[in-house]
Order: sequence, then structure tokens, then C-alpha cells
Amino acid sequence: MASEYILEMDHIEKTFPGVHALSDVHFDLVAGEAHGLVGENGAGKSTLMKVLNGIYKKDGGTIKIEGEEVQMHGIVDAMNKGIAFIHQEISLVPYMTIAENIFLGCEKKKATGVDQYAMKVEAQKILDSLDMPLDAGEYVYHLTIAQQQMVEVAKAVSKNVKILVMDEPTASLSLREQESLYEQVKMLKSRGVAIIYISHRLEELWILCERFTVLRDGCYVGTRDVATATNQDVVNMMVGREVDNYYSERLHAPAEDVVLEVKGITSDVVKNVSFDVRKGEILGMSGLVGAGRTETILAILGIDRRLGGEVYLEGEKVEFKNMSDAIKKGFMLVPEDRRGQGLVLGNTVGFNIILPSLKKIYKNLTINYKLQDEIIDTYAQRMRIRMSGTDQRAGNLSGGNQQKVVLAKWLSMSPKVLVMDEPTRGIDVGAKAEIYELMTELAKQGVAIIMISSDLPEILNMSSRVVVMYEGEVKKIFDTAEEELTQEKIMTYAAGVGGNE
Amino acid sequence: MAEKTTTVKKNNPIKTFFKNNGAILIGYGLLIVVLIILKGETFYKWSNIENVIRQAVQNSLMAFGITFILVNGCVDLSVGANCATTGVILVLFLNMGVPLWGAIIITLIAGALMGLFNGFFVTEWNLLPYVVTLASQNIYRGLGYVISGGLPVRNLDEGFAFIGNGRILNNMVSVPIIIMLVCFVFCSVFMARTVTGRHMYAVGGNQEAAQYSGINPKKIKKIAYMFSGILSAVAGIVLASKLYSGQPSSGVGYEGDAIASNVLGGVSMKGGTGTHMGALIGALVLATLTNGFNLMQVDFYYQMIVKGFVIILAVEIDVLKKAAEEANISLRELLFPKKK
Repeated sequence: MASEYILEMDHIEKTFPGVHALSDVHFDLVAGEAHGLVGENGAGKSTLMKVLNGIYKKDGGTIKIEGEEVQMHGIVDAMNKGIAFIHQEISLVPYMTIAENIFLGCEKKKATGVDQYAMKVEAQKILDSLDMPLDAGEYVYHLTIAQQQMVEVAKAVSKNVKILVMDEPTASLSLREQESLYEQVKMLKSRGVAIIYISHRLEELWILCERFTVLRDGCYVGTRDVATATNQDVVNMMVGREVDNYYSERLHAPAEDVVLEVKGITSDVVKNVSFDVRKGEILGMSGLVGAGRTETILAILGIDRRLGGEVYLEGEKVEFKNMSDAIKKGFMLVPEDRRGQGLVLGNTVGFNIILPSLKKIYKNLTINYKLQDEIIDTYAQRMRIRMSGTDQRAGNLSGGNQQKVVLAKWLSMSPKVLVMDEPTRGIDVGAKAEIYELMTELAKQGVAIIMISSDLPEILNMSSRVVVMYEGEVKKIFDTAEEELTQEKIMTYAAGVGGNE
Repeated sequence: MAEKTTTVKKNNPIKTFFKNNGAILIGYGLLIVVLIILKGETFYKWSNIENVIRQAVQNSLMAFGITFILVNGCVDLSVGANCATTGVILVLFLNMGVPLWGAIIITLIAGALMGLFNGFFVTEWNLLPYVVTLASQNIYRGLGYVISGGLPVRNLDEGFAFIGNGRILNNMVSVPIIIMLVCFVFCSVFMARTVTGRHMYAVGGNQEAAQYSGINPKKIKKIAYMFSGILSAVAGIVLASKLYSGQPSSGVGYEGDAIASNVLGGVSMKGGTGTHMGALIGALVLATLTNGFNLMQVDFYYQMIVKGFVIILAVEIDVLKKAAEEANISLRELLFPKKK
């Protein structure tokens, strides 16, 4: 039989010292399909893809492309065989133009050297043919994330790919930008490109994919048609056990006990933003990426220049000068980029937890080891961090556990207001449920939580109230005690269709 | 489907030049105007201008090498030691009776090897460039002392002396200036027009992206270090000729000026941006400052202090300029936002 599969990977084995990363993994791909590859962090998805592009040498098994067995010898080899990658982190060179990025590694030449003009013309043709409203001569650092994603797609198309691997391409996109990416995926499919789609957002399987394959702990669990599977099936396959309740109970906002009140905050990005957060609630902040959610917080903190407005903390007017001033007053931030901004990865869990409390421990040239251990142990336990010990490197923990370390760090400072920016981005299904549980627990203990999130199900199921922002303004504040929320209701305002209130 | 026509414009090189170097050119222009007002003809007569450029040659040559390195996101602290030791090597081979052209080729190869040595440890062993070149600085200088016996080695051959002291075009232009210009043109063309040159910008701008596009960053960085070594050797040849001798103790601290010239000329220490034109302008600014101070008989010690502050100021302007560019607003809007 001439192979109906454009790609077949069979009995793939890969061992690292001490870890059996892939054992007997199977994967196949038909031209023109989008094939979801799902599994928890550490399930072996990236390892499998690195075997596919030859970065890792496989220890056993076969890879067949269009029925013929091949050996992969690295990225260039994979590229020549028609395999391209779009990574989770945008991998473009910021100080180069779109055209230069598209032709990076296969530049056009003329007698006198690199032919910038020809590359620009050719790149513009590709962009136009894909209906992308971009100028090939534009520098990449001027582009939004979504536009950069477009350039990545154009770059893949320019190489005549047969197989395109997309590794969590929507992780940093807003809802509207996701839509545009979905369009591009569909367009690629119609051109006969086969797509391997790795994502933590399971709902995308039903939007984009025909089939999906689940990996767990380096093993092949199964491949199924999307049409006959439910969300619950996928989760069960991934986790290997029945997970029924994903979200914790929903809290309702108390009528009083306002902890933080924001009145008319204005900065370069946000205009006249007002809202309040009450004791023991989780206030969701929804909106497209770039709607000014994070920027609102930055303006409150005084990190972004504030051009107007007032902030009241427990009824008292405050003007935070900077982050450390805000922390002193009980306003803390769990940043979106937990690896980059939340943790000192190279240091231990204990070091990270104790970091904000150092002043309590180092006093008058003496070190209070007892108090130090007490703080570390208490909060590590309270957050149920799974680790070999508090002296484990924070960088070696899974995403969910890293997030717990960040939470433990701030809890030791007894926050009044805790801002959590995309608290579960890139975190496993199983660990997500735990983070939600911890958040609910914290709120019950009286912490006012502001949860910025682009994940609509998360917003819908966790928030007591929801602030929807659009282009730097608050468009609507929903109270879930008063009305049933739906994704459509939020999207109407997040897309700027609904009016001001 | 209707053919969409998006017009593709060719880059205007003159516009790009001013866009890249605008801030430093304005500063340089002001400096020159001040010097003309204060000193008049003493400053702007050709013999003085030629003198300024000649003073900048040594530094520019090494700065050109550093540009390759900085664009790649690395640093090279060994260029001063390289320059001294290659000078010694040149004279030793001349004294052994090797003809001038042969000795020059050997010296250039020696410089290239010193650069490659740095590049090897930076890429293959994955050591920090700062540490590697700090160490190799000692190695190269030590090597220079060993082969010279710790003393200057002399050679009075006329051809040799011509490289650093000769004048051509009716005695109007010194030979070192011509050498510097040739190197400048070579470097600029290499960076702008060859694939390897463009790949340097890619590696410095986003190494991972470069790698995933099929570029070998290790190879590119080694080439950059090799160029840096060769250009330091050129500087070493010119310096030795000027002094009629190879001096193992010369070139101390040259790497500082070379890096400063790049920074003044807008070459980013983070990699990914900058041109040799910038480095050249930076070197000229430093030489002009020195010349101006000398004409006004300012004490050398005070000159150093002022030079330091000028560098800090220039870097800050550059940082602001980049911030404004990334936010897509003008520098004025960034500094003086409109309050509402």
C-alpha cells in the first residue's frame, strides 16, 4: 500500500540518563489534517517533536515520511524534508525586517551580496497571497505578538512545508488574535499542509483538529477522532484517571468590606479605570490582550506613569511609589511570567519563599534561622508544594509547583490584595485544579484576589465578579450573583461591541 | 483573485544612515561647532583634521573588530593584548629576514588564531565571553613578553616604517588612514551584503530564532572572533610600524576605548544592532574630543574624567532613543509626555 500517511513514527524510544523519556510511541499524520498532540507537561510531547526534527537522536523506532524511512540529522535536514516549526515563544529576530526574517537562513543573493530588495519583493508577495496586512519592510519589534505569529506562518509557507509543527501557538495571543490564527491554520490545511498542533487549550482540538493523540509519561495512550470524543474523554486520557471537578466552588462577592478601590486611574495606556475589590472575593479581569488589564495594575503600582486617578486601600488613600512600597502596604503581584519575574530559578525553593521576608530574619547582623525555617516550612506546606525538599532548585519544579512557590512567597507577607496575572498559563490540567483550590482557600481566608486571565472558562467559573476591559477602558462589570455569565456576554464587551456602563 | 499590489520601496541608504546615527551626529556636530568657534583655523585646517583622523586610526581598527563581536551579543577584552603581541610577532619575523609581505601575512594569521582561540572557548565550551577574553588577555600579553624577552624589539626597515609613518597623495594623507578606510569599507560591506554578515545580526538579535532557521551560531561567532583578532593584528602592525618596534607593553586599555567607540556609535551591547559606521563615528568623536582638549591645553587627567561622562551621556541618549523607537513615538514625546 502506498502510504496514506505523510508522516509515520513507530516504536519511538528515547532515553536520557535516568529518564525513559519516550517508550514505544506511535504517531501518524495525514496530509491536510490538523492533528492535536496533547498531554501534561513532561508527557513527552516536546521530546517527540525534537526527535522529529533531529535535535534529539532517537534510540529506537522508525520515522517514515511519505512511506519512506528517513533519518533526521538536525533542523536544517528537517527543513529540507519539508518540516517546519512554530514555537511557543516567538522566534524571530526583533531588529530585522519581516522580509529578512522570512528568508533567514536561505537568503537571496545577487552578484554584490545579499539581495535585500528581491527578498522584500518576494516576502511581500507571500504576505499578500496569505492576505496578511503587513509591510515586508517593517521591523519585527514594531509588530504585535499576533502579527509576529503571522510572520512565522508566512516563514513556514515560504519554505513549502509539508508538515508544520505548532507548539502552543495561541499561548500568548488574545481571543481575537487566536481567531486570526485559526483562520491561518485552516488556510494551511486547505493547501494540503499537515499540522501537528500542540496545545494546553483542549477546546482548540474541536475548533481545529480532525484527530488527536494523547501521550502520558512518555507513553502512547491513544489516537482518536475529535468528532467522537468529549472534553472529559481527553482529560481522562491525559491524566489516566477520572477527573470530574475541575474548578473549585464559586465564591460570591460580599456587599461590603471593600479592600481596594480604584477611581479613575489613567496612564498612557488606560483611561479612567474604576473598580473595587472586596474582602474574600476573586475579581476576574477579562479582555483581549492589550486591553490594558496588566497596565491597570502597573498604573496602580506606580510602575507605569500615572496621569490621574486615585487608589484607596482599606478606605485610606494610598499612592504606591514602587513595587516595594506596595508590598509593604499589602498589595502584591503574582506575575504572568513566573519563570522570568516570579522566581529566582537557579536558587532553592526555600530561598524564593523567604526572599520578601529577609528583613525579618536578618536583623542587627544576626540571622534568625529558626524563624527562617519556620516561614519556609509553614508556607511550603500550606501551598502543598510537591518537591524533594525546600532545598530543591525552583527551576526544576513543574509549572504548577513553581506557581505555588510564588504564592507561598507572597502569603508569608500576609497580602491584603493579591493580583494574579494569568495564574494557570502553561500549567497542567491536574495542577490547574490545585491552583484553583488554593485560590479559593486564600479568598476564604480574606485575601482580595484580582485574577487577570485570558482563559474564558477560568474567568467564568472562578470569578465572583468580572471586570471587562477594552482598549484601556472598563466596559462592564458583571456580578455573577446577579446574572448567569456566558462566554458570549463577556466577548461582546471585550470586543468593544457593548456600550460603556 | 485580484492581484493586490503593495508597493515595495527600496531602502534609501542616506535616510537609513541618519536614522541609525542621528543622535551621535548631532552631538558630534555640536562639538565641532564649539571647537571651530573657540579655536577657529587652528582646529579646522586640514593638517589638524588629518591629525584627528590619524589619532583615531588605532582605535577605529580595534573598534571595527569589536563591532562584529558586539553585534553577535558577545564581548572581546583581549584586543589590546592581541595588538601588542602581534606587533612583536611582526618585528620578530622581520628580524629573522622574512620579507615584509610574508611577515604581515604571518602576523594576520597569528591575530586570526588568537581570535579563534577566544571563539572556541566561547562557543564550544560555552564559557562567558567576558571571562574567556579576560583570561586570554593575560595569555596573549604574557606570550608577547615571552617571545620578546620583555623588551621592545626594533626594526628600522624603511618599507616597514612606511606603513605607520608614510604619507601619500602629495603628503596630504597618512598611510594608516588609508589602511583604516580600506578595513572600514571591507567590514561595512561584509556586514550589510554577505549572508554571514546578516547572520551575525540574527545570532545577536535572537540566537534561538537563528538556530531554528538553520543557522549555526557557533560558526558565526567564531567568524566574528576571528575578524576581531585579524583587525587587532592590523592595528598591531600599524602601531609597531609607527614605533619602529614591537612593544609588548603597548596597547594597554585599548579594548576600553574600542568598546566605548562602539557604544558611542550606537552599537548595542545586547547584540543584534549597530554598524561599523557607528563605530567609526564613535572613534572620531573620541579623537576629536582629545584633540579639542589638547588645543585648549586641558590637563590629560581632566580629559579622562570628561571622556567618561561623555560616554555615559551618549549611552543614555541611545537607550532613550531605542525606547522611543520601540514605542513608536518620538524622543520628545517620551521625555515630555502630555499630561491631561
